[in-house]
Amino acid sequence: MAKEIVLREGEVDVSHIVPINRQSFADKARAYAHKPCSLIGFALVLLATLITLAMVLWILVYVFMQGVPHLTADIFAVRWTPENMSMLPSLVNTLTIAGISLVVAGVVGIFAAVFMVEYAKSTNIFVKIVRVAAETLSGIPSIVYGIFGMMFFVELCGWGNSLLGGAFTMALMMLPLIMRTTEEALRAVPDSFREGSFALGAGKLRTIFRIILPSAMPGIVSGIILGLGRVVGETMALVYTAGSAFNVRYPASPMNQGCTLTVYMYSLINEGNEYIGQAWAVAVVLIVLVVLINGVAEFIGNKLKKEY
Amino acid sequence: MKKIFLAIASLVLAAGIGVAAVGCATGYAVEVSGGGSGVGLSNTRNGTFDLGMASKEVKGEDAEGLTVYQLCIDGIAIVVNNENAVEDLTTAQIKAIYLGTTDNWSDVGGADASINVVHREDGSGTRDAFLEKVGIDEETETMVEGTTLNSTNLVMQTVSGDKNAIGYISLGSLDDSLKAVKIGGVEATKTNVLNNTYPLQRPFNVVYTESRLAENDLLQDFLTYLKSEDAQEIIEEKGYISLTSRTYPAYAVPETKPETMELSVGGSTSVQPLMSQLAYAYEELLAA
Amino acid sequence: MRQASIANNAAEAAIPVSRRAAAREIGMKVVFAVAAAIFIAAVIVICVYLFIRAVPAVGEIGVIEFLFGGVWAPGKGAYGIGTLVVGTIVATAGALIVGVPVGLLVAVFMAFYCPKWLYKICKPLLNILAGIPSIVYGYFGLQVIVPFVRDTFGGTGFSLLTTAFILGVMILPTIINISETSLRAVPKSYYEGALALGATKERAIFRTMFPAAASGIVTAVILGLGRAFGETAAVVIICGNVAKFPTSLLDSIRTLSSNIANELGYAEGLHREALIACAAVLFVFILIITTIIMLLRRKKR
Repeated sequence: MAKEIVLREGEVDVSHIVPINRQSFADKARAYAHKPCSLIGFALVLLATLITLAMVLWILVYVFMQGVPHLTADIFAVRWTPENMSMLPSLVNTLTIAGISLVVAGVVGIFAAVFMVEYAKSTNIFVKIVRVAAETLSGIPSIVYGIFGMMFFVELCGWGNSLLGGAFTMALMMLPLIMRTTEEALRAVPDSFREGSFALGAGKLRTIFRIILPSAMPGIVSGIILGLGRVVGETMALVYTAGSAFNVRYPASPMNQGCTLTVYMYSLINEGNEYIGQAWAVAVVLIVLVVLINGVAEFIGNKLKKEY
Repeated sequence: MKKIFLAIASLVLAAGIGVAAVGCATGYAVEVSGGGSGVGLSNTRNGTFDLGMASKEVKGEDAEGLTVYQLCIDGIAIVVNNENAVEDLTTAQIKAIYLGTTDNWSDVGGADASINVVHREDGSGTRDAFLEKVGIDEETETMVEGTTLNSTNLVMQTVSGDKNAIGYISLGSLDDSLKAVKIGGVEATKTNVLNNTYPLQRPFNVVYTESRLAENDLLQDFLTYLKSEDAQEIIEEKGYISLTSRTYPAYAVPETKPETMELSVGGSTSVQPLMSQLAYAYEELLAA
Repeated sequence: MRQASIANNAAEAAIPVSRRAAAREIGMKVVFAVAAAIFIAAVIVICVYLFIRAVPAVGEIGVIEFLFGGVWAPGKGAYGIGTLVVGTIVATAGALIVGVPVGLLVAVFMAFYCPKWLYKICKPLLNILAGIPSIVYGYFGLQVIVPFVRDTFGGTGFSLLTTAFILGVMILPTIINISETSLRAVPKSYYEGALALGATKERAIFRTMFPAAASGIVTAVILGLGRAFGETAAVVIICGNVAKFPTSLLDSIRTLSSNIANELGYAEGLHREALIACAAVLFVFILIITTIIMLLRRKKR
């Protein structure tokens, strides 16, 4: 330090003190020499991170290397034939089921969240029970949903294997997620919005639908898109509800059965040696879909954070 | 921002509807699912499937309420890895391997390594037929625990990847990735199945209920197709064995096309690949 | 929120509303309440449905025989899920052994060591890992891990080891995300205080931050446990589906969920009811786990 430091009364010269977050390498080395456990700790942390990153990259690279060569125009042909094994019909089925289930789960989830945030006091016993129910629903494994969907929609309602049954089962699975994200988004809306709206004479309903929901939209949409990501990746719940016909086709109506992308991949896996390449190609498409969906969700979610 | 989002969403939706519309416009749909022979029988009985597939004999309790038509014959090949030295096994040896009494390849003429037994799942027609022909009674005898897999093709994949594995698959599915052992000196070929020297064989059956047949005219026409020469050509091409005792008429697309547009077929995973081909060929004929 | 309730009350009291508007308000309130009640209804319906089919089945098989019987052979009429429960437990335990240490260490890295530019890369990568569908994990396990285990360690490759590894990788993102959030939530003063007292960075983290974030970390572990417990699509492909008590890491196993997935398609009669009973057992386990998490959360407050 060439500059001369002028000390006013009572001040202390602190220029020679080295703050801990500016340790030199020599300081660190000395500290580690004294406490080797710390060095081991640091090494373990680094090792764990390297292993994890390596795993992620290994899986991604492997899947892409195996699958991309098989992403021919054939496999995206509009009609499925045993020769081209097109995955386009199953992709459309996935999007259809996702669309229906997200509309259903979205409406129910958003309304429920509105109730929990805007109408009920948090000490209300009803609210507590709903929360417990939501927690339970979110923990149930997908195969249990699959069995339930099969017993309820396929057998009891008599729909047989249907896209609608699959969509409703998925809606059940998505409900807790959507309610939770919507609640967070609603709580993030400042109370001043509500108060201002009431002050201007709007009733409760109008406030909710005109002011609060639109403000919370980015968070709500982000939650719905996250739910979309989960629907896209789900297999077991759909195998027993929407069906697993091998020769996939576009269903004429939601009451027909339909094989989604994940279930199609499951069928391909069960075909063993014959369709290894196609299975990897479907895996690539699945991963790309999920990455896109999560990316969009995060983008929209970030907009929420920016505005407040 | 919201506008952009809405624009993208509507574009995706429109694209989806467009693709679906194009796809939907094609018409007849014969859906072929799997699940196993057991599923084929039970689901045909309860109406979930219009036509069921079973890769074993359907008699007694199984046949209750169902009409059975034998499509073709299929052999069961005992497969080992291509690198396995063993070429020939007797039925007794196979039985001993699956019961666990023989557990090392050296006991049957191979290398010194423990035998990795591969099973099909409980509801598999291939499994039932295999056990029946080899002479293992599941009720009284316990088989050695081995990897249980859900389809012929998975068995193929496992055995071709593991040099100490042994499994049983449909003869029609056999390809170069595996080796089929001879049973008592008899090679696993079509001719040997037809002249009954190769013991491990079973029928491919389709089952249906008379009531569903009366309602569904697509089912009636599909059955006519299955009983025709065109279908048998495909069957032979795929490596399965036509019953030579029958004569098969040629198939002609009916003047008035069937009213019902959908047919749901399901059951044995061994029959499934063959049935998918037949279904596809049938749809092409109808659409033409 | 208290202010909002005051404002709500004021709004409802002071503003004169037409009767139709008032009716609409009440009507919509009912609609919203019904939406919330659907959650409760869903849980009850699922519960009732499962148990209505499961309980008679278990009664017919015999409770002790069902829960503790060591042979699952529907062909012979044996419906003991002992081997399945053990298989599930060891698979989950294995997943935790693989996932928890690595996950916690990575969470520590992400919270304390990661430079900002690296964080921007790592976080999305972890989110991708979290998003990969379970069936892709299963296929990766089948094509890559199974041959690897078979060639290196022997056996068939469809083993407890494979299952534990893949499940561990699958629960990593859950554990990392939640642990990282709880670690970040600990006030920085803990960390700075420890450093001021002369601790090295690692000591400060492991001795002060970890215990402070303990409840969050335990929640993370339990959530990971819940996920590994019910995982089906990946497990059914790689576990070998052999219903016997595993004696070594290389033995094939069968879990409750993979059992259901394997046999549900063709099960009939008592067999199908028994599978539904398996699902009921899974449901009960998850209920217990959820209760534990909620009790933990209450303790935190």
